[in-house]
Amino acid sequence: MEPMPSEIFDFIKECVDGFGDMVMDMEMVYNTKVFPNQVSGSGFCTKVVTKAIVAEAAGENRVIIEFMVSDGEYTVPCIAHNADADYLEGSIEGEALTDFLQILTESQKKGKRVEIQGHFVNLGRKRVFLCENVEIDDGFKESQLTKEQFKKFKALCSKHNNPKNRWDAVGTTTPIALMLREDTIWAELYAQPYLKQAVLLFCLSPARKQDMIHVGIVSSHGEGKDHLVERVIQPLVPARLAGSGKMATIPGLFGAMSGDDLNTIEIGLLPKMNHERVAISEFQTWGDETFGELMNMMANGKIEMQKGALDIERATTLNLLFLGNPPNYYSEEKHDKKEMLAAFGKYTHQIISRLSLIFTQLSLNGGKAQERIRNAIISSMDGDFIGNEVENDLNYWRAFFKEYLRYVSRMTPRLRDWIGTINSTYDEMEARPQFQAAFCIRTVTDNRKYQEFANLVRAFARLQGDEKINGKHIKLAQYLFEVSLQTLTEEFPLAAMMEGVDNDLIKLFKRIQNKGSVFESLAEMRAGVKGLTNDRVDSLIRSKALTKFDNGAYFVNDSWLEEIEGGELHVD
Amino acid sequence: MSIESQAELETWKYLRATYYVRFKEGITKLSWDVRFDVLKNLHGEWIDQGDDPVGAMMEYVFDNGYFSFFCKGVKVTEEGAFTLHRLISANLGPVGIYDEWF
Repeated sequence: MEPMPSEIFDFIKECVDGFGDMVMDMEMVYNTKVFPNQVSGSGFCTKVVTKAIVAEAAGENRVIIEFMVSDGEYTVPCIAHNADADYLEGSIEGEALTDFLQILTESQKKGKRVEIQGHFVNLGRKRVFLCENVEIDDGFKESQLTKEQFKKFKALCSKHNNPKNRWDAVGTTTPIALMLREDTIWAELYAQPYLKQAVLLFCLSPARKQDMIHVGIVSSHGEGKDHLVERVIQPLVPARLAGSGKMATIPGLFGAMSGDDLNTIEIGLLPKMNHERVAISEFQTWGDETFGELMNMMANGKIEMQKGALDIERATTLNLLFLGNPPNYYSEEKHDKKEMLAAFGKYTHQIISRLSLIFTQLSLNGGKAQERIRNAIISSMDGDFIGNEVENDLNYWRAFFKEYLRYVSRMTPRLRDWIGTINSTYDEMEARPQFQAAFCIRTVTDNRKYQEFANLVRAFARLQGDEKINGKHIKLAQYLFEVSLQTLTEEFPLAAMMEGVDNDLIKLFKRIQNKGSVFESLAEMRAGVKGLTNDRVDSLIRSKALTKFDNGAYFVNDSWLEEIEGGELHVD
Repeated sequence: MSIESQAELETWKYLRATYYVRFKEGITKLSWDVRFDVLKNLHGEWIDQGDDPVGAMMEYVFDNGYFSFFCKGVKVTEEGAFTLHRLISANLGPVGIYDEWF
């Protein structure tokens, strides 16, 4: 690893020193309960009720809106009213109170965040938050990195970058290269480059449903999957961990009516993390019904609930990371790689279709880095990253990249300019037998997989902070997509591939097989088998699928499919 | 071969930098007997030369490299879309251009 250019690190420190804390929850509001301090917070309206005020001091026809704002951890009772000051301070006059009610109702029904400002007051025997201002907060946080800082960072990255060649997509100091380094955000965990890249993609904030990137990692226990979330992802970006089957209930994940008050719809973990990300640990312990509920969310970025009289929609535009183990009966020798995915239960195909990237490897490090992994474990246990300069530097990098990732998540590089190359690259991958086997393609073209690939291209452009797509982004996306494919499938026999045996040829062979085992002539074989060109016949003969006799007859080798699947194909 | 548009040019650059590199790796792993058949098939108009056609092709490759064969097996449209001859696809990595050392 080349030394980090001090100019880059000094610049990052300077930026981070200027960043402030951002209000993302209701904790600060909750903590000022006993003081009358002016404070603001952000959460979801979980209940709203409008009542008449009957006290004479309030004036005639006065109303009070009672509502609850919750961030999922802290719930605060709030009010807004239009009573006279003799009854209660902070009256909101005229239309403004109607706007209040509309915003709160929208928040409750559509699960939109609201930002509230005000202070606590006594109302009778109750302590309530008197709300003076309420605004819809789209939850897609602005970065604290300014445009000038971003530009300067990019310029510094270019200045120090030393690529191997002009098509080296990562280089030495591009933003991705910096984010992959072990002295920036990967100090506490050793991981393969492809896994690091997948995690960086997961750390982007999805603005719209098309931006969501769902990643699945299925590997043996003890591979450090939870460590990955705790030591890499959570210190870098807002991410919550959903636990095992019994702990991650449908009401807990999606929200449900409160047991205390049926008019209150509690916030589930997924709506709460809108525009952020959730990691799901030990997903193999989840029930089928939980995966069933997830499917809409994964595809549409929202969930809909009908609870009593309330018809509610909650935005859940977020990235999901599935971390789990293969089924306990899985054996690498006996089972197909796809069997590892049985952990997704009866919705395996649907979930796989919605995952942008899936990695199924018993060992995530390839077994080549045992010493480095053990070093990372011992360093973590010894507290090498706590209370010292290393921790200090790490915190600077994490704080900077948190804002960097927020900044680039708002960029929308246009895919249209490269549509030809993107389409052809995807078509070439999709035509491979491994692709179709891995993703269980049921239709001619899987548009969801195509969309996921195009999204990966754009996501790499974002990670690099590039306004325009270029070939390097396609290359990175293609590599990662193919790594995912590689881990999902057994190697297709190389000899067969060299002979151009592809899925079409296999289909053609099956059609010939259905017609008979011996054909007196090529013309007889061709009759009724559309697409049997000389070229294809030649490929079938060369790959030993067909044998041509001296008298012009053709013999169909019925065991050919078994042979190529077992890698026994012979090439003359 | 004439390049008609910027999109076509960009695609050729992309193919040269990614697919061709992997194709060259793949093709050079084949024995010359098989490689000869693959390259001849890709070329489409190759005429065997002399008593030792494989040797003649080896000499041609030594002088000119594999790119001309690669170009014969690739079609790029003005919009930048491309198609690969199945023998190019077959001689990339097992799942495409991904390199296991990546």
